[in-house]
Amino acid sequence: MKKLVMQLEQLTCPTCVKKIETVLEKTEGVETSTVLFNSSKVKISYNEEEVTPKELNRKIMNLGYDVLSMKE
Amino acid sequence: MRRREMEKEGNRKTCSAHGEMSHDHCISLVPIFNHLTEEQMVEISALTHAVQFRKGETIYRAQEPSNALYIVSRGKVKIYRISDSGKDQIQRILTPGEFTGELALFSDDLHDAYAEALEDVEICMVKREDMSELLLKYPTIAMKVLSEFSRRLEASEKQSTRIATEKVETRIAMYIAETLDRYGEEGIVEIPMKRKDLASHLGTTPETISRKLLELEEAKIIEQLPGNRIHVLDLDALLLV
Repeated sequence: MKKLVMQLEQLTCPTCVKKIETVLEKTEGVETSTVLFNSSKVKISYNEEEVTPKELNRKIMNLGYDVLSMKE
Repeated sequence: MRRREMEKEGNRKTCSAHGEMSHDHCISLVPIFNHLTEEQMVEISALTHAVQFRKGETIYRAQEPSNALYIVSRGKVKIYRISDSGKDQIQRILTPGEFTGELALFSDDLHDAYAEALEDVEICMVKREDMSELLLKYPTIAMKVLSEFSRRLEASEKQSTRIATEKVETRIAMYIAETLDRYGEEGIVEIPMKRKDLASHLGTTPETISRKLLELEEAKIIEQLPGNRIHVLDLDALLLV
């Protein structure tokens, strides 16, 4: 199990949090995800054999949020 | 708009001294009501009454009949359960604007948990019959109540997943990160409960929490400040614990 933190652009709606978490948690290989609304950070625990950080990054970009940086 | 702001200001000043005013204060504060028009809020104000509790007082006990919705307008309330072996576990902490006693909304039931005032607390109570009427009359209130329920259910599911799957240091780190994100200012957050209560909330012991906080401090991720406050030095590192 690996973990990563993404810094997103400033989130503007509290419901975005739910949207991002739901999409991530439906993704194969993602164990848990937590979005911090005010700091606009996403924490993801994932299984590196099933999903890569790059794919997770793309998931979030596809929802319309810019990923500014990523840490593992 | 201007008038409303002035009124709000007035409420804040007179809230504890003046019973009549504190009703408005409490209604306009609560997310389940504050989207209504001024007139509707006045109507609801007539149905609520404010009750004060001192720090440490029990607001209700498990097995007592539950027939009202309790909305916190000032202070913090802890909701906890006691297991058969006598251990208590904190369910959640209510801050101003949050409510409890919701079981009463749907059934003539007994309280399933205990509520205790963590500080001097003011609570607005709405009787079950009145609340049911409001829910029927203003469907938007019902929607707000449902959305609060789903938020709570989600938090509780997350909490149980965490206790089952995550290491204790991760649980502590995530608790700090989330509390900071919600209530913190400039990287500093006050932990809203005692060490013992935090331990029961996170499914661990006070000793473990102290030890893990010290480890986080040594790793230069956090700094412990007096008054149960924590300064988060590196939020990313905290999230990766």
